[in-house]
Amino acid sequence: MESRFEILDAFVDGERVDAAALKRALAEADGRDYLVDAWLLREGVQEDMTIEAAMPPATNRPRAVRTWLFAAAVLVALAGGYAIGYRASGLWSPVTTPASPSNPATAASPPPAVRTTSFPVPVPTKVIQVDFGTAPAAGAGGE
Amino acid sequence: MVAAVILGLALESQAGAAGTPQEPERPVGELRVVLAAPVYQPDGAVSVETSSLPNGATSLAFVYGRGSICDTATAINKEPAEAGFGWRLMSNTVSHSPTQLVVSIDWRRVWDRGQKVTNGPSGTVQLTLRPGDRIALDHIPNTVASEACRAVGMGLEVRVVRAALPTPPAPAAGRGPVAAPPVLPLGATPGGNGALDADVWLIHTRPTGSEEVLHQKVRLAAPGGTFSFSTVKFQTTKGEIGFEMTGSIQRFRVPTGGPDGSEFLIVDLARVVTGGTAPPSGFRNTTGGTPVALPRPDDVVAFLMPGAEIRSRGGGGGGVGVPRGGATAGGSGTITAAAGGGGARGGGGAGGRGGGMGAVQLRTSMEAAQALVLLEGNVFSLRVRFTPGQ
Repeated sequence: MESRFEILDAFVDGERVDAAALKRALAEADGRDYLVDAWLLREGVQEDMTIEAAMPPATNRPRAVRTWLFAAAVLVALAGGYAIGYRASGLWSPVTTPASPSNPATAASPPPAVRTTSFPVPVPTKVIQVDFGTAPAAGAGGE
Repeated sequence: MVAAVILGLALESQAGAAGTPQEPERPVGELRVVLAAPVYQPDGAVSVETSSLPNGATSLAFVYGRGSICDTATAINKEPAEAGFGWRLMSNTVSHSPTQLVVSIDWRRVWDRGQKVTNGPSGTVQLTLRPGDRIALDHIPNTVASEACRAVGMGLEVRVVRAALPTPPAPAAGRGPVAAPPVLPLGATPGGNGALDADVWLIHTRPTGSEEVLHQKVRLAAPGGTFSFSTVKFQTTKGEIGFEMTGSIQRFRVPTGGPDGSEFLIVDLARVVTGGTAPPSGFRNTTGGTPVALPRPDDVVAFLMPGAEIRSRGGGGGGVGVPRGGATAGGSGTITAAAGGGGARGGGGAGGRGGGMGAVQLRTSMEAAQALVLLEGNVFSLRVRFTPGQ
């Protein structure tokens, strides 16, 4: 582990850290990658421990997970614009992600029978200018 | 623009004093219930899937999103298999008159977060609705916003629409008070080949640039069909303005012409602008029949109304026949507001033609110009896609 990223470890562990140093660490792409890796590792360890322990300290586990989730949410805001938030939502939302496993709107190729969607509005391929109320009739104008 | 309007009003009053013929009262279509699913975007844009229900019978309808709430659709009678968000509704029209509609609606949220739910919010209401009313029933927040769908949430609303009337047979040349009969290819006969589905979008571009888009899908039988959009309301310096858009599409077979060499359409659009300084019944204007060769299923035809223009063409207006791929600036953003210039253009056109017009035609033109003034930079356009009926 690189020392400059120790602060990320501490942050993931729920320790109090210097916000400015945390921002500096997250400003680096390596730092953000490290954060995700550390997070994945700890989540994996957490799941294993939950399964093995089965019962006793179960009261602490959900709280710890929630703390990490909260920390992750803060990180998303700090990282600003980076896709961590998007990836993270997939990590802790296993229940909701299956909601769009076969999302046809984002599928690369539509099913054989072309299904049209209402939105977004398609780009016009032909444009016709219409005018309300003018319609100059050849005969009407002479009345 | 202002000068044109003043001139028009003066001429109109003179015409009225002289007892010149007035435009006959137009029959109006019946009121119908519209189910609407507005999807709200973070930037203020709104996309609304709509579906009107017939009067006189109990209707079973489904308003839903597929993989996300951004991919909305409606279904009548048949429960959709691909729904992930949305509602089931039973609607029964208790009574309807030219001015109001009483409807009983039983609704239930039956899909949420991609799954079917059995204990979702529900309700039964009896509503007395008038044109322009919007009643919100439920709202599903988007808890899984993503790059593909940033929407804040999807609502369920009941609205009212005045059904479009089929276009009457075109008057003989020289007798029509408003429009000349459209020119059709020689040998054209009424009726199309098989059923068509028409996806119709009404795009309202606000002066700020944000858009509200209403969509509906209508079936066109062999003779053709109609579509109607519920009133779009917005605020201006003259108060709340309402914009209604209806349309009629007639189908004709022709010996030659059109992509498949056999069919033409006559598209007749009508709009009503209410509120502000408009008379109680609003400013009602039509385009007259516009002949259109039946487009291919992958074609999208945009009908630009005064005040709208193709962004890539600058201020030229009148963009007819933009070649395929020419308007690919992206999404609905290819049509943009003219920020008041449209009003001037419309008024100028009307005023310029005034000299050779009959009194009724002039009045119609001036109403169109006044309607444009009321819109205050709010621009409307229409897009249509025709596909074989399924």
